[in-house]
Amino acid sequence: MEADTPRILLAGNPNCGKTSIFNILAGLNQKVTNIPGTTVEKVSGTIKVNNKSYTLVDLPGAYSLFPKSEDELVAANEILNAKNDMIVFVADATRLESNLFYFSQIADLGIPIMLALNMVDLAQSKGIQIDIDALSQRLGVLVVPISALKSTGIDTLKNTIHKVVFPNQTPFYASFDNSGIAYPEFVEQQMLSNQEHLDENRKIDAGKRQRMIAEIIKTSVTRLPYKKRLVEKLDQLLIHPIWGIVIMLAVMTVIFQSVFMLAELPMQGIEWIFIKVGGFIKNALAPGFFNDMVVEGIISGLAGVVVFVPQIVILFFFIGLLEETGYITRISFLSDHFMRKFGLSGKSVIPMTGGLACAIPSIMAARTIENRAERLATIFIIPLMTCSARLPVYTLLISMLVPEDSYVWLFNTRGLVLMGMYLLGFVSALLFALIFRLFIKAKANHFFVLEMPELRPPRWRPLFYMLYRKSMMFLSGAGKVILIVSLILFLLKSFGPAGQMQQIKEQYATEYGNSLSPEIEQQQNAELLEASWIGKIGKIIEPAIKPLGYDWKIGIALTTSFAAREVFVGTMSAIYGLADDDEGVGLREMLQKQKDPTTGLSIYTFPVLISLLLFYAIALQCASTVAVVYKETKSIKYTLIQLVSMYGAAYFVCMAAYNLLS
Amino acid sequence: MAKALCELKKGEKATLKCVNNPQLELKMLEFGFVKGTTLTVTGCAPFGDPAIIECTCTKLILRKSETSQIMVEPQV
Repeated sequence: MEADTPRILLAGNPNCGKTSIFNILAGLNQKVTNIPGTTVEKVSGTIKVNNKSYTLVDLPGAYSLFPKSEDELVAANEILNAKNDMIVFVADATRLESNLFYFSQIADLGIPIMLALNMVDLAQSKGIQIDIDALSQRLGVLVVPISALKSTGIDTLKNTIHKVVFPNQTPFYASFDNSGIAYPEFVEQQMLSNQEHLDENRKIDAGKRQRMIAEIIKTSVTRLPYKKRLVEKLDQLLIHPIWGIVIMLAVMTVIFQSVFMLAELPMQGIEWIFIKVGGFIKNALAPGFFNDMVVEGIISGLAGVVVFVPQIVILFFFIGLLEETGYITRISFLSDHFMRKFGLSGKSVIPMTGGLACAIPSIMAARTIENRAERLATIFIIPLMTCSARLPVYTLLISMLVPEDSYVWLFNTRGLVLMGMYLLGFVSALLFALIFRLFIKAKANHFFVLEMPELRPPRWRPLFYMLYRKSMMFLSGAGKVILIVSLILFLLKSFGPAGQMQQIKEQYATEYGNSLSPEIEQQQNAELLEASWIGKIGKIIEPAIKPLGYDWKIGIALTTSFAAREVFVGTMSAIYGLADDDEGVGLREMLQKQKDPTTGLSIYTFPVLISLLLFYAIALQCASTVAVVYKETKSIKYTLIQLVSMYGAAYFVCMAAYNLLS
Repeated sequence: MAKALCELKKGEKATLKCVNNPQLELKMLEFGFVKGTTLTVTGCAPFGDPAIIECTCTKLILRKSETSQIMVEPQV
């Protein structure tokens, strides 16, 4: 950043439309920086007015200079500690009274400030008339009425920016109290003092400010009676204790189904592209280890990353839509009571619903929960929700468990068992939340005070910028870890202890010559897998997983499917030497034929299948999830606790189930 | 007769008297809930918790744990 570009901060309350204005002003010239130690993002951009460049920073929304959340802390630090040339304060014209409090605090710091009065059109339709000149005079700052939704007043705002370079405002509340210290010093004092112990002066100050604001409002704002708009009547329905919940469940169903179905085609497309690219490279490079590493390690690793993007985009599109319209706050309102019983918050509902499709975007979505304990609890339990990667595993296991034409009354038994697995996921998530609550207590003096925004039409532009940013964040963050894990798994698969794998290859070469038929090659691959390090790992962990009813072959599949649950099916096919495209019926029949070499009994018995189903329901078999959890919590300890407790729980539950059923 | 905000029914109006928790009082103050403000309960979630409390300037969602600490004087 150039030193001589003036720095302008965009400040305001949450939901005031700040980000829309930022997007209109900065366009695509934006840069996202993660504030170290927090999950808050700071977005900055460059704007040009009269051939002069300015750096524009979009601060997180806040209600007060004295921080209560991570967002507010970041905003306060930017305002107080950075060298700022000017602040554009964006206020929601329909809620001017409550917005002016934060404005008054910033104005008293002595930084040049102007007021952008957003949503003036909406205010008018609600009978709120604001005398711009009177307001400007009373506050001593320039006031520009705008509507970000209709993009009116933006040019005036731009042209006003260079007029406010010199401080011309009269202090809102010049001297604090009788002690005579100036406001900036008072703020500094308060920031340094113990936040738990409240200074009485803060309350006195706040009270005085609100009284002055009330005076100003009285002389510049008139409220006329107005007819309730259709939207407000709709809102009454949305927050209704019965109809509201019916609508909420319907919305959730639509979101879940969309993430599930709309992502299907693009995901297949991405897989297809990677298979083609992999095939092309395989042929282009000389055969050998390097070729295998690029194709099976890097390309398939990359595919495993990029394949999640459609789901991330779709889930975040809906979350963005819910946020933009203000509906998300209504969901929090309706579900808060139920969720709180489990140490969660009303805001946990959306990430948990998303978890039915994929834990990865959902864990990212838990950022919207301000309360840290509730956010951590939500992240903790999301992996237990039945994600789409479990489906191929469940489908295979259930098809072995239940005959095809079995019915309970009118319902297909397989479908019922699958439904039961979804229910199990949800119930175990709530149970884990309860246990989690015993260990992490919410901070005392945390209040649940949430502002209810107006219901309004969505603004599309900020929504699409957000989608772009989230996808990039995922690709650059979690992507790296997933790539590394799949490379490690590839190396474990390609190498084995001294010469054993080479020996198998030579044996096949002497027996069958250089060109192997597909069946023979599959057989060779199965033997190679057994001789590789990953095969050894399977054998090593066999004693540990024996109590769950698993043999070393399942052990291999458990190990490889740590990369992603659905890998289980592919690995099982590889172990039993089936062709890749024959994973359905062929694999099921093959598995059902397997007998224990010593006892001669079937391996995949009812207790084993149940045990496996439970294992995939509970264990954190997903490297990507672990990566995202670490990225979101920035805590190795938390990530490890989650990983260990879920594997631990899976182990004991499966052991209990296997032994009880045997 | 002053009573806690959580005892108000949907649609009832009341004047804000005092908040029994200084931290909460400050937070409410920052939202513009000054003593003497008229509050209306405009919505109740299932089991009456949380509730939507409206004053002229804004609408807040408050849990019972908070509304039980806010004392109001019902208006008739």
